[in-house]
Amino acid sequence: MNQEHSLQVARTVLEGRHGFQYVSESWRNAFSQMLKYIQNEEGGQVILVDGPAGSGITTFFRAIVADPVFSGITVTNNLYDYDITFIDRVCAAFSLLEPSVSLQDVPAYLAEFSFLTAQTMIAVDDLDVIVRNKVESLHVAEQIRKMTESRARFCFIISTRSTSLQQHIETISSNFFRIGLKRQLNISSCTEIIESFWRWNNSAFRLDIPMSKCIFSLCKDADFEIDRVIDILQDIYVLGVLFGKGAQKITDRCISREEIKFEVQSNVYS
Amino acid sequence: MFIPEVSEGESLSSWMYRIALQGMCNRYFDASHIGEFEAGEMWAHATHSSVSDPDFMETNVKLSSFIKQHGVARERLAEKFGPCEQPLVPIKYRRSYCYACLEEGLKTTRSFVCKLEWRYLLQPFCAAHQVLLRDAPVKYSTNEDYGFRLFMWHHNRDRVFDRYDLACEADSELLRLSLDVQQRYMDLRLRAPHSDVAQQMDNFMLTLMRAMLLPCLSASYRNVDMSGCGGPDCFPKHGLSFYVTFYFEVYRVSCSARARALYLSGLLLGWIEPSDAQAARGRDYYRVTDRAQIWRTIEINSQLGRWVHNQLELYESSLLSLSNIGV
Repeated sequence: MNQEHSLQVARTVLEGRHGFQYVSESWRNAFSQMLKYIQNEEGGQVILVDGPAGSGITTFFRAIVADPVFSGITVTNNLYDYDITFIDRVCAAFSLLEPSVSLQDVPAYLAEFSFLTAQTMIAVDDLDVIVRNKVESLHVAEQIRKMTESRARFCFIISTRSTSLQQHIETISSNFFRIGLKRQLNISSCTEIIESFWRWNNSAFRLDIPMSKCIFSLCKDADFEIDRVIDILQDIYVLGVLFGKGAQKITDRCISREEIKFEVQSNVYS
Repeated sequence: MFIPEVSEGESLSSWMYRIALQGMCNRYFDASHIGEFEAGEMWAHATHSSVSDPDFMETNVKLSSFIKQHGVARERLAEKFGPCEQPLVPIKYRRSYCYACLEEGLKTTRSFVCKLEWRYLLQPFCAAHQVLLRDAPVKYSTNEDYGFRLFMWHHNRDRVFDRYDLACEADSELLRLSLDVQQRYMDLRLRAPHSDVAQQMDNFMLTLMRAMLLPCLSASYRNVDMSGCGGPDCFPKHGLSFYVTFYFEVYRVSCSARARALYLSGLLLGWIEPSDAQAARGRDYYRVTDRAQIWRTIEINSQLGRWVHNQLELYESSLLSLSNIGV
């Protein structure tokens, strides 16, 4: 492998374009729990997906929306207008928004449309980005309650870091569930992820980079937190790509995670 | 891109809009997906031209760019959206819909499907569901998202239900008779040996309906049937012209009024027995219930009687002629 090619591979890995996706066992359990909740025929549930940054909430939402069980829409914050309310966004996602009209309450046709088209699930990742202030959060919680009790019996899957918004929704909803995602992996999951990552990349780039001995201890230092583990794996793999067997010497020489990071960055982007 | 199938009886503009809307999260904020279509009133300009009608290939001003954009074969479209052989409400005045049809469209396609037959002048009842069509405000007529507007209007119950339900409840018997007339006419129309005869029959029936909507017979209508259609005031520069009323009123009135006109036409044609008409009259004491009464009313004005007679004579055919209406 020439230098240009190895740099190209290194950048692909560092920038997360390698395509490797890993979900922990606890994540998978949470996902199957979610599927059970949303398959409840009664409808009207509000399911809050909760967890620290890096625990895979966004990945969780993407997976739920892509699952065949999910039948509904995703509410996003891609409409940049201060006057757009939460209900406007929901209607826009259903393609039911009237131009130049800002809806303050749930219109009757929304529930009817969803009921008839059997699209009754609404996924909202980062609800707090959409809700603009505390007054509105109360209002949105009330609107969510109304929608869950309407003819369509909407099922909401939401995530929010705002504890007050979480409380409002939990208090007002009669059919509330919480799904917690963890950032920390257990030891067996961590071992599994290291091996899978290596196998995936060696296969994707048709390389035979040997696994470094120091990886596990570095992951342990990172408290087995999934996003940090992936970060370490990317760096160590890139060292392997750039220096082959010489990579081990570099990791032995570096006494901290920061030094390894510096070594990688300076070699790839200098 | 996936091109959805045309639903049974769907109009060209409805199908084109469904395709244009595909994959769009929000049509009003991201109108670029519609290509050359402009968000909002797509057909607004069409109303300025007397020949532009988005429901027909020949008169759809956006069709060429649509075909280029989506790569749909013109021949394939021609199979689905051939010329219409029935008299239609002009696009500018379209406002009728069958909610059961809208519901079915939503269930099967997840989008609003508008049917061309809602515009058939001689069919104020939905042929599939046997119910009187509802009327939305005429201001939605040229909207590209006509189906959504109808749906939205329908669920604004305070405004729409009182009028429709009032008409249906109070006139349930009359509507039943009127529906019978519609079905009988459609059956008769199927027996036309060729399209020219069918066209003559349509014109004959339409002339009858026009005559039945003349102000001299207004006692057979309720105010609620005629309100909102504008009357001769719609054309102030023409003044209170008899001809304007005669030709245009049928396009502008509500479906309930057209159903009553059909009922009166049925009386004239002898398709409704006077005894049935009497039984259906209820408390509507001024409603006409026999053929002679209609002719008497029209012929009070001899010029008017002659005009109606001449018009009907023009459209006589082997299946519908002046002898059918006792002239």
